[in-house]
Amino acid sequence: MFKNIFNIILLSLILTTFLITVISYIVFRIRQLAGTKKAKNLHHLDGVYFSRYAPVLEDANIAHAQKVDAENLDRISPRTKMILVTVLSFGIVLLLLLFENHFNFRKEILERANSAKVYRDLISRGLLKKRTFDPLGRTVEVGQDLTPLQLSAKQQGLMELSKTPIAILLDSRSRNRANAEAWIAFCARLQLKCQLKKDVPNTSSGILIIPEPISFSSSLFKKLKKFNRVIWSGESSAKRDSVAELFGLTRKEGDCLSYASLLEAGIVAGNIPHDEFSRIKVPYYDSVNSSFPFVAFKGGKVWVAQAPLRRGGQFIDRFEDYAFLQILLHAKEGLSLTLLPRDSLLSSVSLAIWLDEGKDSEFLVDLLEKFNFPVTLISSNNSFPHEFSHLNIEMALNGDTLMSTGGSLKTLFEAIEEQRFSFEEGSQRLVDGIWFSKLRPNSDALEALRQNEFQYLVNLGDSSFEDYPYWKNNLWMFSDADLKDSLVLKDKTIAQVDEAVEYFWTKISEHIAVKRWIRLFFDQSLYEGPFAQLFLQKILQKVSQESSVRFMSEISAHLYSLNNLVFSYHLQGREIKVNLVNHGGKTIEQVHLFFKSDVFSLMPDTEYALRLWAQGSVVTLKNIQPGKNEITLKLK
Amino acid sequence: MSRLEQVSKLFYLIIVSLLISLFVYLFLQTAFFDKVYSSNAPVIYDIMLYYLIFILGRAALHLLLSFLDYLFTQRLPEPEYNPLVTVLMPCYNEEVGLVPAVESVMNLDYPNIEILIVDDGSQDSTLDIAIELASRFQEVRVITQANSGKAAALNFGVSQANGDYILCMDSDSLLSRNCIKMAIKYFMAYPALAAVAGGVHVATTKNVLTWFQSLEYIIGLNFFKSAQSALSIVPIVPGPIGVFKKECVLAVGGYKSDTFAEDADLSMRILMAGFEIKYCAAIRAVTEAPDSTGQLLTQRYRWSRGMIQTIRENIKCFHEHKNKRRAAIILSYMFFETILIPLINFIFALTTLQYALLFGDKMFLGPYFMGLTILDMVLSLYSIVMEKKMGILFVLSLFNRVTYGLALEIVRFFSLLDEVFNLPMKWGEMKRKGIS
Repeated sequence: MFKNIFNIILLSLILTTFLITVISYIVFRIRQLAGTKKAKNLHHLDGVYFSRYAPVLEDANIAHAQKVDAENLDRISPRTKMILVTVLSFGIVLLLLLFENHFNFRKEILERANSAKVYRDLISRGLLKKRTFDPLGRTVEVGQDLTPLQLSAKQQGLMELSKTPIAILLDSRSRNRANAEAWIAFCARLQLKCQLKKDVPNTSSGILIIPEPISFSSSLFKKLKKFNRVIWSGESSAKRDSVAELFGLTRKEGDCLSYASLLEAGIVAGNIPHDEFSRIKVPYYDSVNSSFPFVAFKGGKVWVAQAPLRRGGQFIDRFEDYAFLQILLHAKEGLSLTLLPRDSLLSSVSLAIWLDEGKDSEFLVDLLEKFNFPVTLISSNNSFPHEFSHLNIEMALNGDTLMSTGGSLKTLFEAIEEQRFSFEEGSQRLVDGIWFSKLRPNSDALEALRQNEFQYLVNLGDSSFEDYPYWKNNLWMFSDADLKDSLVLKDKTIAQVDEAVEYFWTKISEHIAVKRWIRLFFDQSLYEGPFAQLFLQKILQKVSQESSVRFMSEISAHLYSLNNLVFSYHLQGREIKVNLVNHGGKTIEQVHLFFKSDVFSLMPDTEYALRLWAQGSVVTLKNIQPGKNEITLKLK
Repeated sequence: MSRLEQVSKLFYLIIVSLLISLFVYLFLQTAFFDKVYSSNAPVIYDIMLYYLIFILGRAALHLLLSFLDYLFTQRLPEPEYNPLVTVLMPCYNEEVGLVPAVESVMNLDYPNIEILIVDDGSQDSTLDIAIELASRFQEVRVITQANSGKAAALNFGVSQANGDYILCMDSDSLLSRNCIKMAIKYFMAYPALAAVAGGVHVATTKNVLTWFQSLEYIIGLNFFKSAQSALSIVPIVPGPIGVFKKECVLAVGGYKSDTFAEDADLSMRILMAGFEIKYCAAIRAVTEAPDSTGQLLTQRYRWSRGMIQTIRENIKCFHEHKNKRRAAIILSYMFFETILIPLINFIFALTTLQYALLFGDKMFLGPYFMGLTILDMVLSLYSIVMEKKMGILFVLSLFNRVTYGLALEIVRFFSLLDEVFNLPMKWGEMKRKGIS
């Protein structure tokens, strides 16, 4: 308060000085230039100089001064006038500033009260939520790398396997002991029952693991062929024939057991599990690069070219173990815990418009007001574009700006949080998406986004997430080829806006036809070009008539419901038995299941499978109740 | 006061000044910390902070040099003889003040003087009074010329002077009794010396305006001059009191009439030619100071434009100097002190106003002006102790920056603008408080 008053007095003094000096100067210059300043009657002598050396003059001066004073008794002298004017000016300026300060204070209080109300409302709606920052020290449990959903699925799988005996076949001369011990370590980590055996067990309920290199007698191999649940672990070329025989393949001479030959034979082959994890590297820890090898399975028979890694206890709950757990489950019942690959689940169109700072966005506001388009705005600036605040539009952060700021994990976390708050406050909607246009996020940025509970990333290839399983598996990630308006607008063969719209819409339709999620990305070019704005208007008009247009946040909400599902399937002839476990407390209204080609390839009739695949492999299931759901799909 | 006491006093002052400077620095740091390190603070805040620190450093350097000058010029040897000194009095319509001025010179304690009254074609009875004075005192000589201006009168006087040393004074100035004696001591002690500048003091402190001028004189003129004197580069020998070696004045071509500040012009040319100029605090002249806003404005406007003209003219003839490095240093220093710093002060004052009025950011205004005010207080304290001035000046230094000092910055800025645009200007004259 004191500081404020002091500043106001200071400001008044400075302003008064400015005013008086400038006015005096102007008067002085006008007089000088006009030459009107004429010496009046000379004034009178005073001061030490004359009183010392010209006492006679001084006396005369005093007498004259007294006479003049008597004459001017009722007048105000120019000097007094000047002082009065200065003091008066100071008083007026001070008074005005005090009033201004007072009204500003009142205004601030009023605004504060209003904004507090808005803030409380936002917070009650779950916005502006403060996330906990995790500095990711070395002591963090590695187990955090598995998502809660995956951990849940893992527990379920472990329960399934808890009563299943696992036997590991040891070579008669223990040549495969190293490989076998890796399996033992793996079972010990997962607390599974396993035993080393030198012969095939008689019981048919267990799983038999055959680690390489192994040699066995023909009688032993005959027993193996009869055993239904076998995992062959290794990729020794010498034993390819044995593996082929185990899978019931007849190898021609010179053939090698390859992906193609297995696929041709109707055996599912690929990397574990379903191309989801090709390489795993966990940031912040010593990297563990394990290339998951080729795996093939037919019924309960699995061939995996590698054994689990022999590692210490701190690596429990890593993806490698999760993957091998699935191999065991597959060997047991042909079940899979794989979550659906999400980018195949939606067939919708979403709009993204890039707001270019400094460009006139008035026309865009008009368009959005007119058509009420569901769009996602990405601002090139870090601050919220307030001209859009009344439209209630979803905002996404600009990843490029974030990356260009750089900094540590904490800096990035705070930068994201600050921008999220700003956008949530401005748009009054949850902000949980980010768009990267040119720059790619590093692991710090990804971790900072994860800790800020972001739900989707846009415009990135899968390869960006090789080092970061959380994002690869937990969150929505758009990597579709975007349809940039600029590409259309730059096509010199297009002369009319309608041609551009038609051409553009054809491209969109192609994508919709193959059930791909489409991103209409309007970048800076929407501000430029002869018919750029008209083009945008027409496209938006068409898109608004499409029922499949969605908000980004609607998509992420949909994904959230999907994340509560554990999905597995089992093929029986021409039927697919689907097991769905809804871990969420609410009924999921609708789920799209996307069956990959390998499902159909399990069918003995390849031609039939291919036809099915061509017809479309998406099945829509409705009203998934909490808990277990078993659905049988009969394919025609 | 013994030598030991003097040195002790100086050390005491040094310690106090350093402590105060440290306090000022810490204050600035604290006051600006939030602004400077806040990401929202404009860059201009950073610049202003560093400018304040620079100004503080500049003042500290001047303070140190001032101490050194004080230490080394306390005791100069008595001159072996008393050379003839010509007291030059250019007059134009000075019938009121001429008699007292001559009488005051006659009261000086120097035995070998010549008083040369140069009548610049006065239209009143100045010439008659001068002739009468010449008949009264044998030391007085009178010469006259058609009205040609002060510079021409001074040049005429220099050419007619018999003495090797010339004391130039205004006819309304009152000199200290020992001024010539002290000046001759300097000339004897420093052979390369071309001039000795005296200290100008305000004679009539009858209102707040003259009090402010008194403060300005002791800080701005006398304090800075003693620092410059330590390096023998006092850039302005003031018109009311200055003693020159005649040969040096002739060597640089005497006074020039193409500027409004002929005294500053001569001093600069002397320095740029390689001669030295020192300041002697013991040589004093009391002079009338303008006591109304209009008069003050006229005087300062003329001084400012005169200084700018001087710098401009000296840049033009820069190539004539043999020692170009020295000439460049002198010119740069003058440009820096008389044009650049006042200009920056004015711009920053405007900036604080702009932020306060347009953006409502008043919090920056206080620290900036307070920083400068504390600096003024330190300097005034020092000057008050050294010059044995009245304590009221210390109180005035509290308001100097936001009132009187700021007004002068504004006038300087406008005079700079006028000079840049070459607007016409009249000499202007200060009313003498005489009777007809």
